[in-house]
Amino acid sequence: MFLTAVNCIRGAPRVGPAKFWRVQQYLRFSWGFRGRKRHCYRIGMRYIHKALVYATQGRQLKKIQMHKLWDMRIDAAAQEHNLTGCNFCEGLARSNIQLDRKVLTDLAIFEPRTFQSLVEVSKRRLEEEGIADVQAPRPQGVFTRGML
Amino acid sequence: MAQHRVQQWATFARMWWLYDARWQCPFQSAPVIIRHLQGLHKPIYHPLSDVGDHVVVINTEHIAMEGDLWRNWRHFHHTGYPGGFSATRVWKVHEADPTKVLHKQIYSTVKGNLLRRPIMARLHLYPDDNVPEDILKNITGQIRQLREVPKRLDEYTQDERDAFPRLFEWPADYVPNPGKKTVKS
Amino acid sequence: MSLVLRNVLSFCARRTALSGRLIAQRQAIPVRCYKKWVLPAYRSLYKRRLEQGPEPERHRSEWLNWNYNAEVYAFGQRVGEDLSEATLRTALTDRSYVEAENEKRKGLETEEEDEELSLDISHNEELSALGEKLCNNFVKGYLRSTYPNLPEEGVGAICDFLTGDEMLAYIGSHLGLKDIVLASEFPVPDSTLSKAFTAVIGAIDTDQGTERAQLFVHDFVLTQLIGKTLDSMWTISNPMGLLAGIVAKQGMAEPESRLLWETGSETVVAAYMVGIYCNKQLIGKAAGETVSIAEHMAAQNALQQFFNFGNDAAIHFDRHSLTVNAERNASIEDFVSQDKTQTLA
Repeated sequence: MFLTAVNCIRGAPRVGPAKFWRVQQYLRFSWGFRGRKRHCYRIGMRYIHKALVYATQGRQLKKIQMHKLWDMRIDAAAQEHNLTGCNFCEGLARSNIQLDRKVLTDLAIFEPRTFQSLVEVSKRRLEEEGIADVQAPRPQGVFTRGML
Repeated sequence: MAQHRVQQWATFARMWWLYDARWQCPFQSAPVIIRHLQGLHKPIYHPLSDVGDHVVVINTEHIAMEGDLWRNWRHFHHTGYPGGFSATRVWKVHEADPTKVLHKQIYSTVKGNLLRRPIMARLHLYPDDNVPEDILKNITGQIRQLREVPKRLDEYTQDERDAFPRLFEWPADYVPNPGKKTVKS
Repeated sequence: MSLVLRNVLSFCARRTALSGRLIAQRQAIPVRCYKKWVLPAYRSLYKRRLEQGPEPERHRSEWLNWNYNAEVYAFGQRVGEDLSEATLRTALTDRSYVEAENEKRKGLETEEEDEELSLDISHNEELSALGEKLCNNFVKGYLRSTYPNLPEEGVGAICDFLTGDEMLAYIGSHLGLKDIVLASEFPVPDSTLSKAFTAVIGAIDTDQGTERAQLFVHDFVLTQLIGKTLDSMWTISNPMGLLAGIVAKQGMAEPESRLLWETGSETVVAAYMVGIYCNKQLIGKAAGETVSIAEHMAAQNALQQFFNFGNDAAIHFDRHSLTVNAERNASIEDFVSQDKTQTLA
């Protein structure tokens, strides 16, 4: 049973002129367009090419934007504990805690207590290294190199 | 899932902050206030979602400006018609409307997108500390002032002034400010 | 004169020829004007589409590349059990299908009168009953051993939630049962799907032994507990009363609710956070749109913590230690002191 007539006409394997199938592929790309560029191959193909260029650029832009968003969120979460996001990441890096920004953001949103303990660790390290003046109660059960 | 529902409710609840603008610089206060208005102080912040808080600013008529800015800083306006441009000294604007300077500063600092209108709607400015009762009841947090408000000399009592430690006593006939020099005739 | 006449005549002839061609090709020639028919036509089409309603759901077998045998085999491999094909096919055949097929065949005429035309396949009633019993017992036993503090009523409620038609149909449809169950009606109703799912459990029990069947239930049914709160499965009508009773039984002071924070109390989107304290210890807290809702939720939260439920550390999903407790947990009356029993209502 053929649910689509074109498969019936053209047969199951792709026989027929290559252009037919190319046009079909282009039409599939242009399904969301508006106006004649949606259905006319000649008009639509130029916009499809441009759309593909945008898509390529967008893949890079998305990474940049997500990075910015994570930075903003980490900064907000760290400032709840009186630490700037920049200093917080510095303290984590120096404590050899290799969590990336995405994970830190997720922790800040969904596990605020875990994030708070990370902030405490970072503060402790910053204090030891003399980078930032952080006056805070020290967390229990955190061992750093200086203590051993 | 009622527990999850109320958790969501608490996460997206709008806080009400109080900010005392007495002796505060409007240019430096604006970013701090905007941070709360936009929700940038929350880990759930997203530029497209409206997660900001309310900020109630009091004592806007007592804001302070650096140097000669009261006289030199100007607010510009254009009516759209030829020759419709006007520039007003900020002290004049402040005299006409004591909340205008801070409002304009915040408005121009917020990015001009579709969220600016709701953001500005969440800003409540009052020239003094007479805040309506229903607004006051909502407030549950305070934004720390950027600068400590200094105490003026005339606010100290005479006893406090006398008790202030001195290195030496001025001679009895010493005149601190001689004033204009008199020309010898 | 004759020249002029000839010219006129020839012009007329050309015009008629042209207009004749025009009439013939009227459809092909583009006409530049405002097409009044477009909007009504589109409106009519839109209206007709709405009247038609959504497309009926079609069974996967209506498409060309449908291979039932392959699907059944793939299902067996997907669940990761070594099931014989006959058992699996029985588990996937609903009684309604067998009955409908037999009904259909009765109407057919045969050359030989005494030839038996009825379908000789078995349906999944027995396997389903077996699987359902196993599933219920195992879920209850596992819950009892994992949450020893949870009252038996709660265990029953969670078990009902997990082994209800809706949940089992949900799990089954995500395992791909929806396409391969043989039933008389389509879309397959939840009850049929859940029966097929329990029949698969029964089939594993028959072919592979009880332990494998229990592991299957453990992997696919019990894991649905992740991220669920107690109140979504077990409705406690008066959580504050129950909490007071439990606390009194333990000899602690009366629980007190305190407002932890509130915001926007004069607005329509006010939020309140209420904490419940007992002997100056915070035993539960929750937010709410009003103070009373927040208090209700906080009591539920305190109960959940008291029953040690929802604490992620409590459920391990460790495949190597499946402990099942056949003994019933204490009933809710046992948790509550005698003089507080009336508060449960």
